[in-house]
Order: sequence, then C-alpha cells, then structure tokens
Amino acid sequence: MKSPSRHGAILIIPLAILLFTLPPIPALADANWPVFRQGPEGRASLEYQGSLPLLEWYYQYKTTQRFEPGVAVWASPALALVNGRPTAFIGGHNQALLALDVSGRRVLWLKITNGVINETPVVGVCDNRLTVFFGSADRSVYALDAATGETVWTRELIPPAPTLGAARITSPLLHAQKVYIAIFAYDKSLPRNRQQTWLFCLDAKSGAVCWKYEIGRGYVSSPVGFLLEGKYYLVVASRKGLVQCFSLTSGRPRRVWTYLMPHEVFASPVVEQNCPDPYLFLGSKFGNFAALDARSGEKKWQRMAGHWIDNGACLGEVDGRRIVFVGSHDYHLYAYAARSGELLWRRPLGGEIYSAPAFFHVKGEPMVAVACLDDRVYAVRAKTGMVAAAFFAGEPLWDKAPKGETLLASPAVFSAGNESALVHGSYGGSVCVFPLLRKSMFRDTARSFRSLWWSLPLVLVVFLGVILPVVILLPDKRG
Amino acid sequence: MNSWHSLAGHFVETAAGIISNLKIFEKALLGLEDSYIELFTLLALGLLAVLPVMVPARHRQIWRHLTQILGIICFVFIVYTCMGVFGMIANFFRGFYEIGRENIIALYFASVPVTILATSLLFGPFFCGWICPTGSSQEFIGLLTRRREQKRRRAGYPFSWPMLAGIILISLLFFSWLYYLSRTRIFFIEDATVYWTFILLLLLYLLVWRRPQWDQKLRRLKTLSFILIVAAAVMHVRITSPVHFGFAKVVDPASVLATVIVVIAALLVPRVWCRYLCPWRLAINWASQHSVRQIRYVPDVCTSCGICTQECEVEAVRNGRIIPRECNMCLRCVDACPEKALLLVDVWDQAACKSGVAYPAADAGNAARKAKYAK
Repeated sequence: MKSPSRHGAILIIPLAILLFTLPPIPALADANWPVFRQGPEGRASLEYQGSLPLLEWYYQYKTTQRFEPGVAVWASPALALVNGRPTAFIGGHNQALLALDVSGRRVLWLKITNGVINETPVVGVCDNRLTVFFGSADRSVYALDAATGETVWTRELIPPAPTLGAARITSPLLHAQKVYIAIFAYDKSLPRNRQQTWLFCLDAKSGAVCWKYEIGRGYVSSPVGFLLEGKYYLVVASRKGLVQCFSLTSGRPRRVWTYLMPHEVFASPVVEQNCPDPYLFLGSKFGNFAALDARSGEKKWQRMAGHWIDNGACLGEVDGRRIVFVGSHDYHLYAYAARSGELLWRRPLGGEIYSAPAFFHVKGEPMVAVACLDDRVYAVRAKTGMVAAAFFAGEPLWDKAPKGETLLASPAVFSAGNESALVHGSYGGSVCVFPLLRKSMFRDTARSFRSLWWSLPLVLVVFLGVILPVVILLPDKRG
Repeated sequence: MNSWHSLAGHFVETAAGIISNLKIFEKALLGLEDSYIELFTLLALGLLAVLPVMVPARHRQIWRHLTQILGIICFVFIVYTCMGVFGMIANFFRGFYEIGRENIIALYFASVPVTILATSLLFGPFFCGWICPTGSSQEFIGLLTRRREQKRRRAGYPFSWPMLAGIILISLLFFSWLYYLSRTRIFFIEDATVYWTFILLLLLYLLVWRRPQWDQKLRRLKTLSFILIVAAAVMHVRITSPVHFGFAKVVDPASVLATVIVVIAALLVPRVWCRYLCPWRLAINWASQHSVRQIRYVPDVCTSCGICTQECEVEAVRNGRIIPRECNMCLRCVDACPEKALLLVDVWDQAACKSGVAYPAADAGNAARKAKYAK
C-alpha cells in the first residue's frame, strides 16, 4: 500500500509541471477596458507600471482604397497591455481595426471589416485570452485575439436585406463574460419601413445571442454599466434625450428608471464608482449638464455651459474630492464638484471642445486631456485648470471641422509614471501619440508663456528700428 | 477664483462669452442650407450700403448713427463669416480658392468681403463711415472726448500730460491683462492680434509728441498691416482681429483684449485703429477710387472757415480739400459746411457732375445749393 504522501506527490508534480508550462494569464490590469471609455467613470486612461519608451508617433493608414469622401475619422482608442507592451486598438472610416504597438511604433495587426468603425472597441479577458470586441457598421460584432488579431468569433446582429440602411452600432460593454451592444437599424422599403434599436446580449466566449431587447427607435449612446449593492445596471441615452437604466441581475433586462433630458443627447453618461449612492452625469445639446441619482434617475443638479456639450464627461479624484470634467463648444473645460455641482474652475482653451475628457496622473499629478476644434489636444492640470501642454494633431482632411454633433474621437492616455503618452485619433487622418514627458515636435511651445513675453521686445525692436524709420523717412509722393 | 485679477478675468470672459453667443442661427452652414443666411447677409449689407445715398440730408448724421447701430447688430447677431478686418481678408482668399470646387463654400466665405468691395466700388468707402462695427465702436466711444479733441486740433496737438497719463493707464491695462491671459491659456499664432495692439500702444506714445509731424506718415502702416495679413491669408495662417470675438460665436480672449484696447485708445485719438492699422481700409481705397459717389469741393463758395477740418474725425479734410484715401464718407463735412462748398455728387453722371448737381437730386438742401451754384 502506497503512503498518502506518495499519492500527493504523484498528483502535485504533474500539476506543478502543468502550471509552469501554461502561458501566463494576463493580469487583471491588462484587461481593464471593459467599456468604451475604460470604465463607468470615463477616465479613458490605462495606468500601469512600465518602462518601455513611449515616443511621439504619427501613424497614417495608407491605402489605395477609397472611403467615404472627405472623411478619415479615427474612433476613440481602447488601450491595453498586450504581452506587456502598451497597445492601442482603434478603428475608423477605413473600415479597419488596428492594433498599434505604441512603444514599438508599429502595427501589430489589422482587421478589415465591411463597414466603418465609429465606436471604440473594448478589451477583456475571455477564455484566458485577451480579446478585443468591437462593432462595425456592417451590423456585426467581432471578437479578435488581442495579441494576434485572429478572429475568435463574429456575430451578425441584423440579417441583411437589400433595403436596409446603414446600421449604427455602439461600443460594446463587457461584463461577466457577456457582451452588451446596441444597434440601430432601419429599413428603407415602404412595406417594411421600420426603425428599431436593439440591445443585444452576447456570450463573450462564443458570440451566441443570449437575448435581445428593443430599447428605442433611434440612435442610442454606447451602454455603460455599474454595480450597485451587488446588482448590475446598464444605462443608455438615446439621441432624443431619453436616458434608460436597466437591471441585468435577473438575466433579462428590466427597465428600472427613465429620465428625459431637456434636449438631444449625443454621448454616453458616466457613473460614479465605489460610492453607495452614485451619481450619473451627462450633457446635452444647448449646454445642459445634469447629475442624476443612478439609483432612481432623480435629477440632483443641473448646470449650463455656454454652448453644446456633445460628448461625454469624465470623473476623477483630486485631493480626495470627486470632480466631474466636461468640455463644451463654448471653448471651456468645466470642473464641477461631483456631489454638489459647485463650479471649481473653468478654463477656456484654443477651440471648441468636442471630445470627452480623459483623466490620468503624470508623476502623481492629476491631469485631464481634451481635444479641441483648433486641431489641438490639450493636457490640463486637474487641480487648477492650467494648461500643461498642447499638441498639434493635424488639420481636418475635409473642408472644415464640423461644429456640434461631432462625436469625433476623444483622446486616451497611457500613464506609466515617466512614460506617459496621449493617444488620439485625429480628424486629420492620423493616429497621434504624444509623449507627455518627452520631447515632441508637435508640442505647441512657440506661443508659450515665455515666448509670448520674449516676442514683445522683439516686436518693439523691429518696429522702432526698422519699420518706423522706413515709414517716417520714405518721401510721400501722394502729397 | 480668490484673487481680484481672477475675478476680473472671469467677469470679462463671461461677458465676452455672452456677447459671442448672441447669434440668431445656431450654425452658419445649417443657416446656409436652410435659410440662406449668407445671402441674407449680402442683402442686409447691400441695403445698408445703399442707405447712405437714400437718407434725407437733413438728419443724415442721425441716420448714419442708426445705420452704424444696425451694422453692429447685423454683424454680431447674424453674420458668421466676417471674423473682423483680418478675417475678412483671409475669408476672401478662402472663398477665392474654392471657386469652381465648392461654389457654395466660396459664396459662404467670400460673400461679406465681396459685398463690401462691390459697394465700395459703387458708393465709395461708405462701409467705413456707416457700417463697420470696429469703426463704429471707436466712433461712439470717441464722442465722449470729441470736444477736447477738437480743442487740441485747433491748438495744433501740443504735448499733453493727461494724454500721456491715459496712455500709461491703457498700457498698464494691456500688460496686466496679457499677463493674466498668458498665465491661464496658451497663445497661438491666431492670437497675433496682441502684437497689433502692442504696436497701437507704441503709436499712441509717438503721437503724444509727434502727432502734427508724423500723423500722415504713420498712416502708411496700414499698407504693412495689409501685406502681413494677406501673406498670412495666402499661407493659410489665421490671425484673429479685434472685435472678432463678437462675430465668431467663440470665446477669444486675445481678441477681447485687443478690442478693449482699441476702443479705449479711440478716446485719445479718434478712430485710431482705422487711421493707422486697419488693413481692410487699403482694399476699400483701391475699390473706391472710381466710385460713383464722391465728395466734390466747390472752391468758389468756400470761405475757408475750417469747420469741415474740425468736423472730420479722421482728418481727411484740409480746408475743403478731401484726402480720398483717408475719407470714410461719413459726410459730416458735407453736412457741416455752412456754405455748402462740399457736395456729394454722382461722378458717372457727367452732365450733373459738371453742372454741380448734388446727390440726391430730391434733397431740398442740395437743391437750394445747386440753384445757388448754378448762378
């Protein structure tokens, strides 16, 4: 009879061998981008400990294929660490999803779909594999291996029909091995004329449709989810201003509350996390910015910006205080105390702010990044609103940058101490990587505080030394 | 928000934000598609340009001020593509490039400058004296110091301590405001309007001592200003001008600063911007060289009383002689002349011009003048 210790050794040794030979499972931090702006708070930043250099990079997708004329918009990126390397996943009107190794400044892989990709992908661990999920205007959802680009599964949400109009698919939401995604589709034919928006729940492993639920008849924002007292809730805002909150705990969605914003809503709300009574924040056309009770949908406070707010907000903590940041087309970035709605500061930037802000830390200092219609991306100090840096992101490819209803790409940030970089899909047709603590030729320093004051004496010397003598001494022939 | 300059800055930015959001239409291009807003602009500006030759001579200056107020309202509330005197030059080039490619965009950008040039071609530089919001704001503020200015003019512009003190105060305002702005926002090349404002301050200092000698010579700076703005426009570099913030539905602190300095400086030197730095004036001069309406001097009836010289706020009249390149066609000299030695005539109507028929023919005052002159 064999001794029990020998039995244990027989079991432990193969188990140990198996554990050592298995590929390492990515850490939780690597997969922390389950929703379109990284989390319910919309911070759009990936904070990690790393030392790989993040240099400036302008990536342009070159192809002979013609797309929608004049448009080359890149959607907002999703960030992840793939095999320890900072990687950005970004789609656009070139119908391709790209995985960009930001540190190595190379394209890891690309996946071409049959429709434009307007929305941000999400990244999560599924079946022990880091997987990228995204929707395309070809009415399909794709799940790809983040490291190789290999297709895990695809799922067509709406069956094709010759009279079907272009579908509008949102960014997915990944939770508990389920993918939630909304799609708006309309049929142009008279007999089958209908407009429907469906919320789909797919199995993250296989892409099988678990259920679908009609949530409206128009455009909706990307879904955002939050946990409250162990229950999971999902919120979507429709273009017409209706905010709907569903409980997903029982499997099928159950509408908990609705709230009608005073005007159209173009972007998704953000929700406080780790808070017993979280607030939900969203802006609307004509500058209304409201805080709702995420539990009941009751309005807590409302503020007005000077112009449209057509993109989302983001939440961050500064000195232990929770602050909500939002940009408006009135050029201003606003910082409100999340609970009271008190205006802490507002900062005018060089152009109309069209993007959702990203909140991140550089060497422990809280910062906010936004993109403006003056073709620049700004990094602003979250405490004071002072501009820390500005980068030129390229001029629009088409005639002019649109105002309002833009929903162009918003920046996202890799934040790793000394190696921090903004990743931005510019309407100039480039994916830009701007290092925050390294030299960048696209950093706008020419008109900085110091150079402005140096230039005034220069103007004085040129005027008094050259222009004035010429103007005074030149004979007047006109009489 | 705890220091006074932050409070002041916040107040100014809020005020500028309110002004810059006062547009009737939400979006210019939407307006273009749905309500032909820029065509409406063309029509409105055309009507405003015709107004000077239609109004009765009796209360012409009151009509002029009303037209100026209408001009400000029109530009602030409706026009999207003006963008100030610098922006209009840039927009003209932008529209010019688009002809044949995007004609509707060409119309969108070029409509305002082309209308102004066309009306100047026909009616002379009426835009400057009757419509231009930049000029009007300076003129309205200049009414406060008009008597003092006339007194100084009669005395030959001697050195003035109050004027020097005023310039020092304006300079302090400019630099402290600029300091605040430079601490709170990043300046870009479109904010180069602050350099124009800085030059304006330097000019004020020069004018304290050398105004009688250098006034006319310094007006050549308009040419340099024009060349710089055209070069910027050709290179697709946008430079915002004073008053731009009021037209553009944007918050533009540098433009607000420039506007405030220009308007306050007009207290010390009337229409100081128009005299020395306005680049658009050069284009209008070129267009209005052969305009239909011109002011004619009738030396036979002139008594050299000097009232016309006193009345002209840009000093474009010297003893009855009009300097066309400086004249704003405000017609103040025409209205003030007791002997009616200055007449607004239709130079294309040769017969009428030769016989001294003034325009409008139905004008009772001018009819009497004509009768007197016919004798």
